[in-house]
Amino acid sequence: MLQIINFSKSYEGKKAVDNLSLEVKSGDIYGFIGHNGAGKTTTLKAVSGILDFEEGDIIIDGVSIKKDALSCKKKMAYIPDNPDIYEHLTGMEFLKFIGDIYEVEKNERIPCIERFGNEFEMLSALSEPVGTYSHGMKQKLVLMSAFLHKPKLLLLDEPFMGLDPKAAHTLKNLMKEMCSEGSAIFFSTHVLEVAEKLCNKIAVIKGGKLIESGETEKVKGNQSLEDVFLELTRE
Amino acid sequence: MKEWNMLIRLIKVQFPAVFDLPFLKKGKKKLLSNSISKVLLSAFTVFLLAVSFVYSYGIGKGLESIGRADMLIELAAGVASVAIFFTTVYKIRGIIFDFKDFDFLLSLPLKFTTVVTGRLLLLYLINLPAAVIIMIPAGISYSLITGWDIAALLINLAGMLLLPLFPVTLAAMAGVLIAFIASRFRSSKLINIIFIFTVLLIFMAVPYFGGMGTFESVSRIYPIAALYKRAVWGKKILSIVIYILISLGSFGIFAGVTGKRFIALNTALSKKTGSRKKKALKAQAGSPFLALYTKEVKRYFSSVNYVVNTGFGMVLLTVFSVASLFLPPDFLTKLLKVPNAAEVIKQFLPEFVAFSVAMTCISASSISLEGKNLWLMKSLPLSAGMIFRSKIAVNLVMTVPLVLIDSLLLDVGFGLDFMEFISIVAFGVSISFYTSISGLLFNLLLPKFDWSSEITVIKQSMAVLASIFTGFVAAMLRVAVKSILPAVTGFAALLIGTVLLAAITAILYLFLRKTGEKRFGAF
Repeated sequence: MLQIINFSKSYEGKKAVDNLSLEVKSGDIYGFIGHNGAGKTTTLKAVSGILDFEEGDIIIDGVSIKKDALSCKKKMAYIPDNPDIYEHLTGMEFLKFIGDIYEVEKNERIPCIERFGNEFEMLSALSEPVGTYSHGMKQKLVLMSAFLHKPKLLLLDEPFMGLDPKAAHTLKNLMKEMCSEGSAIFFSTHVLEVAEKLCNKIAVIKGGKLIESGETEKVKGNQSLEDVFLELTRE
Repeated sequence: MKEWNMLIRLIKVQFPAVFDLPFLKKGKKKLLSNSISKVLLSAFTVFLLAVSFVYSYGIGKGLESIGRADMLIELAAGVASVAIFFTTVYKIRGIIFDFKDFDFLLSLPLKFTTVVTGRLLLLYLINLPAAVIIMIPAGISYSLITGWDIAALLINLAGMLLLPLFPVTLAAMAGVLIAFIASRFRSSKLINIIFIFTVLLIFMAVPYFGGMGTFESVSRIYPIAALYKRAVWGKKILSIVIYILISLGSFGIFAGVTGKRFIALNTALSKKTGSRKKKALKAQAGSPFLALYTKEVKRYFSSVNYVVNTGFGMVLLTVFSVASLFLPPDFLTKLLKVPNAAEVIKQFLPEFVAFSVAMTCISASSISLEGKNLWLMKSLPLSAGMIFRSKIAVNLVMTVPLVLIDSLLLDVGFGLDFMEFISIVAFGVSISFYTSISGLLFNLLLPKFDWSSEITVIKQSMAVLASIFTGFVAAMLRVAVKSILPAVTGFAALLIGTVLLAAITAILYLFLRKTGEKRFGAF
């Protein structure tokens, strides 16, 4: 579903990500862990088509994002760590906006919105302007908008940050459900316990370089993911 | 002393966020190097000073011919103050209240009075260039006409520095009052927009309908202008003291009073409209373009600053067009004190329509206004071309229908013939396309995403200034064609101007498609 091939990105001559390659297959929940500034967000932004890059390639479902960004974007959804969205729209208007952009069928929308609205306890807030939402509510709304168009690839940057325990639990279940239906998820997180329990694959990035990747069980062996991570990223 | 140091630091930190000057930004990719930006800015300032000098010297000579050269400084001070009031009254929301780093700023161990004073001083600094550009050339013109008085010139420099304080305070008071009254209503933003337009229109109409409309009316409407003249050129100590007291006193009192009630006022003014009627979930679907267009329209009308700053031209045009139906020609002559006023106005209707449209540069800040939401636009499966077209469409929808309707009203009001009507419509529509497309292009070339108050991109960004400036130049195309080809008739000159403008617009659109899309992808 996602192939990152020798991807590098520099900012003012300094490499933020250096020659990174990995593959996320359908059904994978792929965790991406690393220190602050390690290059996780840069990689996720490049995969989502937000960030231009010169070296390497990123293939989404067989299509290079460099060659046909639009068709790649139609198959995925990206949620940043701090989802700033249009504060002048109501939650419902925002969902309609996303539904129209992804051309979600009219009769598919309401059941989806009702279902995710209930699960994230957002239904009653949908008629309010986004400007009145808390950080967590915005996060839930953006998650709902992502699930609305059923992406084949879901990219999440620190998705659990700001979510209440119930919403975090709901998100984990929805992630599992998505992947059981053949989609793939690639997400960054600092919550290693969640990554350990949720992900079937893990990649560790340090100073822009991929230092470990593969099946979670193989990466951590007999140790906890936290111990492995600290060992791998020790200076 | 400590608070004073804090105030200086506060202004230093906030200054680059309010002023869209490329060389004040650190660590950003810049279109032009710092030195080139500084040279361009200096050249533009010199150009404005030169234009201002030509105007004030011309007016001074005109006043001299009727034996009233003494009015020049008073007139300049009045014009500068009115201009400052006009451009400040709708900045209050966004600069003093409801700005983005409000929570952070108020969490700092600072007195509220210091915060308010800092924000008011930012408004003062924004307006100081207007005072400088008007008052320095006026002082020199006055000296050239009436004789050099170095002491008066020096006092003029000092007086000029204080000049923006009172109109800024006055505008702040009006802005707060308008926003406060509007906040009592359910559709507070709409009420706020209507109030501001009404205040501005009344402000424009008072000199004429008050039976004045003469140079003396300046001091009657705005006595500070006369006081300025007495203080600076008359060198009357009492006038100097009163002038300083009024300028600094009003500013200080407003800062003090507002500081005391800052939190309460801000809460009242910036309250979010919640608790809309719960609507049943309805399945509605539209095309991606329609979704983008609707989003843009909602964005536009959600911001009082955006509507007031870009909508005034079309409101003025519409009010004038409606008024033309009811004002008989001899009334206009009496009102404006210009012989045969209706005929004179009729000659310049295409330019008036074009100026009004050129002021409506909605697209020139539409890319910058994406701000922190840019990630969403870029991550969605949308071509840059479609995003551009939705932004251009909003600008066109806000101008073209009004150009058509207002031209019809003007046609009836002024009794235009068919060719005159068509030429006004054609020129108005072509400038509407020019403003919409060039504005977007300027914004792509000169974006500003890291704003803390939207007013900095709506009102003060380089893209908006460039759009308005070139729009005004385009509005004068008929005059330019006439001066190059004096043999052609006014109608033919307008036709040539319209075709020329349409051709320029088409080239800009192609450039937008080719370069703009690449640039958008690189943000």
